[in-house]
Amino acid sequence: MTQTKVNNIQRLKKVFSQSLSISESQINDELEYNSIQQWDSTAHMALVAQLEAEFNIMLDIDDIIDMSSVGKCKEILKKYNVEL
Amino acid sequence: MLNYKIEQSLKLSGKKAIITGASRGIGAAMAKAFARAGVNLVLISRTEENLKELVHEIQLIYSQEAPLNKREKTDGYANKVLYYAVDLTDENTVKKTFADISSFGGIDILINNAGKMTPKPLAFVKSEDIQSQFEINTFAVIRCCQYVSRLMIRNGGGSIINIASMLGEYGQQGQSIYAASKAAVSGLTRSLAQELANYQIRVNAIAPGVINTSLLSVLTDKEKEQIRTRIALQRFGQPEEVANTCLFLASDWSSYITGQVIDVDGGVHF
Ligand SMILES: NC(=O)c1ccc[n+]([C@@H]2O[C@H](COP(=O)([O-])OP(=O)(O)OC[C@H]3O[C@@H](n4cnc5c(N)ncnc54)[C@H](OP(=O)(O)O)[C@@H]3O)[C@@H](O)[C@H]2O)c1
Repeated sequence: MTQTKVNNIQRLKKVFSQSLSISESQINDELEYNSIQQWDSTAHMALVAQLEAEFNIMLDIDDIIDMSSVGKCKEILKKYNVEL
Repeated sequence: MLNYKIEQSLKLSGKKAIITGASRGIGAAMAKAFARAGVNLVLISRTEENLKELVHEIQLIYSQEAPLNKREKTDGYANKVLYYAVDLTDENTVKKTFADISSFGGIDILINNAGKMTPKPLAFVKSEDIQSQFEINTFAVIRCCQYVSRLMIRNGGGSIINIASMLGEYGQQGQSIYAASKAAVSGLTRSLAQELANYQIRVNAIAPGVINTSLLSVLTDKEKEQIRTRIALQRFGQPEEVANTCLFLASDWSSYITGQVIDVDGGVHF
């Protein structure tokens, strides 16, 4: 694994943890939208805004809708050239 | 024009605002008013020459009046104005523009002002008249709100001001499509205010009456006179009078106001 990839995974975890107000230990690829009360539609918007700020990207609406889990989020970010 | 002290008391100096439809009329008046208040500006409309000219005027305002530039000599920080000569009815262009704007960081204020009016009796309305008015008056507003809300969330809040219309509130013969496209903006404003309040983003609209701009060139003198007699103040408004309301809605003076459609119409009665 490259250092960039390691750093990006860490950055991603931090964004999830801050936007959803959960601990980093709760974050894994299987964590799904609406599976915990903290990841509701309000937090989803905050998550999107923080992801865009962190990785300097602008997400398509379809990708925002598709971002149904942490794993899916990683897949989507790869499309925007984020090494993960 | 407000006096310099009032503009300073708004405490907008150093904030970042996007104004659509900035190249002339109400949008240009807003751009100048916000520049005098020391706001950094992103101006959007299609015609590049008009925008370039306006940017030049804004830079003069910054150098002479704006609060931040008074500090330039001491702390090396000055106001900035950018422009994008783009068509906001193109979804991809809107996305690219906001992606570009996002590289400058968060945004505090969005004024959705670009608009178009094609008055026609219903029987003469073509599909393209419906499409073109809704594209800029409604759909572009929705898209800009979608993108800017994310830039405002990272900033911890903001103020969105949509320019609706008196016609969207009261209607008028020959204006059914324009009125419908603007009524949609009022509905959008009220709902979005509820949704974005979670992120400290306030959303309000201004419903101007008849304001002296080139938009009125589509009305005949007879139509204008008929309208004038229904205005309590017996005159058309000036673009600066809409801009002043915008300054208020952008500033913390309106910190407890959201989801409102404010009439700036000289007291129109039907
Ligand atoms: N004047 C009134 O009496 C009145 C009353 C009620 C509401 N309003 C509303 O107030 C707003 C401003 O009106 P105004 O009187 O200042 O009109 P205006 O003088 O015709 O200005 C319209 C502005 O919108 C821009 N624009 C139009 N289509 C665009 C597009 N597809 N993409 C990007 N920019 C576009 C125009 O620039 P380019 O042509 O260079 O693109 C121009 O800067 C409009 O939303 C209008 O409906 C006006």
